[in-house]
Amino acid sequence: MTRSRNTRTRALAALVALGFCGCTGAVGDGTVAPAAGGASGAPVAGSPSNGGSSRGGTNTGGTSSVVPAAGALSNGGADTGGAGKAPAPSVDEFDVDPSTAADGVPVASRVLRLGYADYDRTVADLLHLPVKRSTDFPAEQPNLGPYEDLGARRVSEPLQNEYVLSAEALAAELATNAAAFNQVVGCATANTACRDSFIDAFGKQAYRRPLTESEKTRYRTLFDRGPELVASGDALKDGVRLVVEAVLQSPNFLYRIEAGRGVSDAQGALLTDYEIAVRLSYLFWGTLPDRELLLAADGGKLSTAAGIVEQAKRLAASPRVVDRVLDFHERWLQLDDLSGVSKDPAKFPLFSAGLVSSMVEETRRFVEEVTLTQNGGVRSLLTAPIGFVNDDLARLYGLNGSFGPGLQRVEFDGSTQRLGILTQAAFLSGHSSATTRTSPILRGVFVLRRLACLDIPPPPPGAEMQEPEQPSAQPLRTTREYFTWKTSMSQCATCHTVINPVGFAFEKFDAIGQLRSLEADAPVDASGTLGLPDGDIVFDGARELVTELAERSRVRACYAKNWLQYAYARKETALDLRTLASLAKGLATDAFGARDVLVSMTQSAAFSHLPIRE
Amino acid sequence: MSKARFLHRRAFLRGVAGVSVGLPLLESIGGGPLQAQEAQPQKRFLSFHSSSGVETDRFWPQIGALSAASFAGRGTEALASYADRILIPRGVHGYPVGTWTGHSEATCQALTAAAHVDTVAQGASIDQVIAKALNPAGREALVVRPGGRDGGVAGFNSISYRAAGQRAEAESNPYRTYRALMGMAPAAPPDPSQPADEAEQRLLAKRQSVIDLVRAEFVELRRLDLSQSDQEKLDMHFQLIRDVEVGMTQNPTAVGCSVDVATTAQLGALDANTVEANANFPSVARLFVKLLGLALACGYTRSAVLQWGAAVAGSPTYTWDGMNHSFRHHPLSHGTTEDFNETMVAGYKDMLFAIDRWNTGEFVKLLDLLDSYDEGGGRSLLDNTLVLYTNEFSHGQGHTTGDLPIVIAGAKGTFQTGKSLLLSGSKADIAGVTGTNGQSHRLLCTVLNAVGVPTERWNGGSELTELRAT
Repeated sequence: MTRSRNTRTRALAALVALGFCGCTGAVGDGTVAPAAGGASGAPVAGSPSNGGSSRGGTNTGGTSSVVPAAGALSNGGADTGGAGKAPAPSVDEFDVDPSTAADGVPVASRVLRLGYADYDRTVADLLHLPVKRSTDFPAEQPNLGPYEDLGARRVSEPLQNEYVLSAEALAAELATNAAAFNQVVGCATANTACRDSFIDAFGKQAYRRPLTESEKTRYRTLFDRGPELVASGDALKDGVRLVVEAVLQSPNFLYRIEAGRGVSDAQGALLTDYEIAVRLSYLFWGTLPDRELLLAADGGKLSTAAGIVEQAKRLAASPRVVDRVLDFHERWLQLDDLSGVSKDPAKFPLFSAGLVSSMVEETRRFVEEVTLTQNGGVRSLLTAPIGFVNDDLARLYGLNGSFGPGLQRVEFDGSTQRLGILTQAAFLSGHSSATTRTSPILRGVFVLRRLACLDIPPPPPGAEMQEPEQPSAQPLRTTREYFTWKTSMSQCATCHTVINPVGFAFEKFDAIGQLRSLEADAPVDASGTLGLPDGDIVFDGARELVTELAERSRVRACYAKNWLQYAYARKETALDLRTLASLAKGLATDAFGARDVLVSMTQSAAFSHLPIRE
Repeated sequence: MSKARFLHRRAFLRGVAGVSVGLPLLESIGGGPLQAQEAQPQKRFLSFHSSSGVETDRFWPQIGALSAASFAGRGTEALASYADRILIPRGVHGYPVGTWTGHSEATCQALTAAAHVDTVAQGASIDQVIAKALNPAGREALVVRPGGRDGGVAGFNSISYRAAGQRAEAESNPYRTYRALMGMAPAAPPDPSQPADEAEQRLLAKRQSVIDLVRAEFVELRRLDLSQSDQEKLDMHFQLIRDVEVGMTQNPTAVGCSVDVATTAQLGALDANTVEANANFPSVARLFVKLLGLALACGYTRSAVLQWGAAVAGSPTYTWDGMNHSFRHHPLSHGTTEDFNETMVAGYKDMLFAIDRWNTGEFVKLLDLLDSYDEGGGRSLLDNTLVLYTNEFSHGQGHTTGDLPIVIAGAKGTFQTGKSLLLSGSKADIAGVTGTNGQSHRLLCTVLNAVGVPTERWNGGSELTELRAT
């Protein structure tokens, strides 16, 4: 391999001159170019458009580094489950007294299709079968943010087919699994009493509310046709199979539908107790309400904030909450992107599929330890000096000792340069799309968008083809030198003078997260300044950057905003300000973990009221 | 875990325009002649789209009449056997003019020729328009893509758009595509204790009863006070359920549509976790080719897209059939080792040339497969299908969309064939020409009309009548 930058630069310059690229013509396009940001060139932060950008801000991983968010707003046009009409508040506005902040009911969807993971958990709990059907379901557009916009999810033809096949297969399996069958049916004789009690109880669980009389009648009629339509010789099993098949294809099962109780208070139309139970169970566990929650709804105990908080705390205390807490953090950190990462084996002999699994598992264990066991918030996530390593990860981190194949908790000292989640191998590798080097732009954009909630626009069309016409005066040895030169034209610099330094803070970690002090025999420079609206952060290296970030109210507000999007499966609105302010305030203490975050979000007007219809 | 993976030899339960097609049949794909479904040949559309451009110095045959010799030593050499049955238009330039400057633009505009906002096309793609016009209600174009994906820019992973702003996800797992083709064929094996016909009849009756109940529930939900988008969501779902009922109540017409045993075994053995792995690209791509042949032959869809790998970070590294590249197609198209760096790869043009030859070879295998389906009247499936080869760029290094690589195959009698035709008023010049004759929206308009979707203008572009057979 030879370095022939000048040749290529000249070639590119020639192409530009001939009008091949047309890239310069696209620069300054008002739809994508950053707003003028004053002398520092910083993009405008905290503008009312933050709601839109937060969605875009989620799409920064695993791709070519100079196009961090080209697809950022890609679902904007299709976002039918959208949030309120009022402009979303900026994270700068979260630092207010929650008691005086707005708390209202936004415009949102009343018909949420179960997400794939929710479908799997719901079916498994309903049928007492350890099944996971969604692996056969058709690929859907990946989520573009830390939340899944369930209101925008639709049923396609292949998915409808899969719902039918899944229902038939599950009903057949239930009929052959005696233990599950007995738990689901609860009686053993094919008579009217058994039929009716099964339909009432099973229907109530599946629909997450008592069945109406007309629904019961339909299911009884269907049940009675079992001997004719299934004809196994066992009338009870045949009836049950039919009912289960139909229930699993019903819109009342496949969607979370909210109609309200027909009564309003000062804040708006109230949800029924059952609808609140559904919100609680899917928020905390991602599945249908358990018996106790349904009993609370039966007794009308979810009509008050106190009743809701009592159940919320019970759900939060369960180990079942772990799945959802980890799911949020994996989305927030874009850990999915790790699955597509590949590295040059010659340069990174340590790198393997097994190592990637260990990296992800470490971050999962870390998040559980910090946000659930220690009840910490984003400050602890950023600065807890602990890790979970096995022999492979220990080698990557340069730790001595034997740890075996399983992950062991370790405390890092300063010499390791490890501090918190952004210095873990999972984040560092996942935000390095290249096979040989790091991607400082991906790392930088993540910090700016996901931690500081800054509005970083996607690059203009053709940005990746732009290059300074003049070669650099110095040889470009390091990744830092290369990207500094590559993004030095004025049209790139507006954003990249903000993005690059933040990414460079992590340059002492290579593309798989190993510590290094040299790159191509040149010393690594990890110093820089991050300009934030609430004051600059001057740093040398990732430890200094994350330590300072951890103290910023802006970062806590941003974490709160991401959590709210996940929990409510929609963008935030101005009417969510009280909840956001409460979260930000709670997170300022060191004892406000994921359970507290989740419980807080059940206390809003939005949580207990029927969404406003578009 | 109980994942039913019973793949057995069955036909589709539903076919074109609600006509159910036959139940168990013995023909395997590519294995022999099939009975014609209808007297009139059905027109179909298949898009084959690859990325990162071609090695332009050695790609095209000379402009003019084509013979096998025209392709000797070219990147397109494998097309020699189709020399008299294809049309290679030259001088087609990307449209909208001046916006095709990056992969984002080239990918989302390939089949839309629409403006875009942040990598999202602001208009439908022709595959979906054709599906809407020719397929049974609710059935979208079948969109598949072998290989990995770009984790950051979703637009690189699919070129298909249902409507402005609504990209259709490309399926990367042939097993799931197979399931989609199978439709409502049961996932569980039939009960051997019961006669097959009786079991089939009972299954249909059972489904009908369940559908009746579910339909009643959808009707009741109409009483709710819902937003338009919520109501549309439920209506769309309801429509899909009703379609099942229609399909089941009409008389089946026999047609041979099943997958051979070896392919069935291959599909059943696919692991969802590794299906996008680079090493599996050739085998997964070939499975998709088989399934696309089946889907078009058996009337599952009349419009399909085979996106030959994602762009940029999802582009394949060619490490098979004599190629042993260390770098993905995208950086190689720039002559470099990474998507964005300056480390040049010695001999990269030869690597690009090898990629072109391999891709064209696989494209020809696809044509061969389509041509093996006899649809009666002296016509093959290929004769009834317009196969459109496109690439996001001509010159990958320069991201140029002048003189895009285009091949039109199939659609017998519709186009001038056996020639490479330079559009009048245009130039075979990768630098691009701004004259209106060669713009890609006009090519897309031409395709729409050729497959029987009358379209006066597509994003302002009228038909290129000079390409049509006289």
